[in-house]
Amino acid sequence: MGNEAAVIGAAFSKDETSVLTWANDNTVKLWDAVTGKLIRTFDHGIVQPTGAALNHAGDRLITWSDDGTLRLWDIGNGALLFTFDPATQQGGALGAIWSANDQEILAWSQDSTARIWDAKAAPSF
Amino acid sequence: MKNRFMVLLLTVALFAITAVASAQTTTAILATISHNDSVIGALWNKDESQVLTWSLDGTARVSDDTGTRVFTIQYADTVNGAIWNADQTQILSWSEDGTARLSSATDGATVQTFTHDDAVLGVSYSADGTFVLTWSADATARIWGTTTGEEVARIQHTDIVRGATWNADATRIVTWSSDGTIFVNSFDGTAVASVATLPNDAPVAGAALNSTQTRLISWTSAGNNIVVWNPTDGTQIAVLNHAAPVVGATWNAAGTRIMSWSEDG
Repeated sequence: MGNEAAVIGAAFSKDETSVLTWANDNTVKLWDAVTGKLIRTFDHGIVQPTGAALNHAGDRLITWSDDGTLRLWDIGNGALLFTFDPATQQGGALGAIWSANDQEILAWSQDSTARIWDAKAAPSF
Repeated sequence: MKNRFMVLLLTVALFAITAVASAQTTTAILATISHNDSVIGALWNKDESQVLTWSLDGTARVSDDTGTRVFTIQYADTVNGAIWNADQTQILSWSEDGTARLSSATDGATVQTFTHDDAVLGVSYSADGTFVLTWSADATARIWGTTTGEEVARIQHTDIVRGATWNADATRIVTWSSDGTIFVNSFDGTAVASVATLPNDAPVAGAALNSTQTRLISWTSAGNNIVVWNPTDGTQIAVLNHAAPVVGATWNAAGTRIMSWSEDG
């Protein structure tokens, strides 16, 4: 799988037919696990994704960044659905996990907090 | 003067936009849990009524789903991690201060303290919860009795133990170290014995058993490859080459495929 930058992390999709990678060229990419072909690129703009987590259903992706934001993506079409942006940003987002029903996101940060986010707040969630 | 007015106008406009954006996203916050320094990890309990967080501020905290604190477990230095035990009656947390601690999940009271000579980097329960495996910057991995609090056995490396894992029935323990070795030890409930030593040419950065425990993969901090081992006799099965240092690797669920990622892109 040909990224043009260092790959920071990677994860299998639930059914292991695809693989997600995030790299220091500010992209998250979805690959076919069998052929190795690039299926989709999620363009992170100017912010480097430092980590990512697929939801349990395997149709939504959350990525986090040093600017303190979390981004919610639609795996099916690559659309950015929502940006969870703490009102007071004093540090990078360090990690996040999905609730069992995929309705909430528990995220922790350098800003000395952990927050529970309502994933349903995203339009077209 | 006109320019200043424009700047003022722009500033006001930006404030307005920021306020709208904030209002939109802050309504998405269901709970905020506060620490006094970076939060380095968080977990829900099984019914998601409580959140366990740990921090550079030297505490692990349990909060309810509104963010209200239930109790705090205080350490002398950064808390590197924390987990609930299987029935969620206890919390096992570990710290840079050289201790791992078992606490009551009701009120945070200390049940056991497992003391190393340097930072505790990770812990793992045996499958039935009888033993706790800890590994440390003091170059040891140690096995403790969960209810007795006593050290049962010790695996000695010559540099930082970076990770360790049990096999499924807790008869084997794999440890990997900055000293460049991976040890496979047997464990009979009272003592450890060496099964195999897997030599590497650099500090071992990571390792992972597959789900059937028939293969072990490992990677080093300097090497460009993943080594596949037979963990029962220490033989090398394969070397998978990247063009630059390996960052991480994982098995698929069946333990038949390996995905690895690297600085080579």
